[in-house]
Amino acid sequence: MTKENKFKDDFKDFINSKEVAPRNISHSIIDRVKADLNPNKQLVFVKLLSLQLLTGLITMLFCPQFKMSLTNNHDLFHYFHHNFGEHICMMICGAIFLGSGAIVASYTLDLEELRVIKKSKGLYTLAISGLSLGVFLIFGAKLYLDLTLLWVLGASLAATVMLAFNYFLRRKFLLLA
Amino acid sequence: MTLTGNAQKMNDEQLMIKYQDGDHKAFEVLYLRHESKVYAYLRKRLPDQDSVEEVFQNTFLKVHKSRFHFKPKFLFIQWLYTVARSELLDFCKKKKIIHIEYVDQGKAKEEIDDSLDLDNYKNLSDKEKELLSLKFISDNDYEEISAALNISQSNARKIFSRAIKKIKATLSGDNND
Repeated sequence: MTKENKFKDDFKDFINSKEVAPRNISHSIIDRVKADLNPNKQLVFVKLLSLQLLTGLITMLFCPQFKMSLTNNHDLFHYFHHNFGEHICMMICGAIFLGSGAIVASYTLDLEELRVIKKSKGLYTLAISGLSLGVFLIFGAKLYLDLTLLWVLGASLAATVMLAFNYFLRRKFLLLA
Repeated sequence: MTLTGNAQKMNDEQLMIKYQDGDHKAFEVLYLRHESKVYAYLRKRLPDQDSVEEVFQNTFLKVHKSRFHFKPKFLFIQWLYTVARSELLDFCKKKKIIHIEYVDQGKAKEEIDDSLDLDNYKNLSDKEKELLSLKFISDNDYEEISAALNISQSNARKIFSRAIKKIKATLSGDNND
């Protein structure tokens, strides 16, 4: 019998075999998969928030506000400000702040956790941008309604798009691997 | 365990797509459809119950872990078989136990009986019979056959093809020899 035939027979035997597995094992497998596919939403939010806090702090090192800048080189900020104006600059600022956190989260969190964020349709990112504004207020930032709204818009949009795009990339990469 | 009617109507590959998108019900349906095959297949090949249960659980957890590697253009059942078999072989290698290879006794006997039938084909020369015997009974390839009969590989292929034609002619009652 050739190797190929052996496999064929083995596969045929597999197809035709029938014996129900013990119920306790079945329950344990199904429960484990169910838990894995449905991660705790609060925990996912806390994870995303923690990652955002870490990445946000790093972006602050390049930000002219809050006097946290390491380089004190604000050329990029001035470039955006002069070329696009204050409003677009605010959107870019928000996009960099939350977008960078979203990229880090996209490759740190599980795919199922990313799916939970994706399913929230921007609610998680909106909540995090709101919380971030609260923290900025505590640190003495002056917030103006129109600029704040643009910052939130830029931040939420960038984070949502980055999460969705990187989720898609990870799925594609897994299929190709 | 109850299943949703909609998921029940889907084929395995459609269910896999839903499962990849995080639908645990789709996994449940797939599991209940195929668990008996995997369990019985392993039961026939492993010596004790503990080993069977361990490999069985490992198989489905591997399916879960590698769900994104599954391509819907292939059959799920073939993929599941491959996972189950590789888990079985890995387990046996790790635990240094010998698993039982499946042998279809009926088919094995049938093949031996077939070899005896060669004598009934009077139109076959001794060389052709010898070649067919080396090809089908001893499971040799053309390289081995050519060495055994002291002929070239292309000659062996020609003799084989001629012998098959003669057998076909005999079976169809079109024997002119």
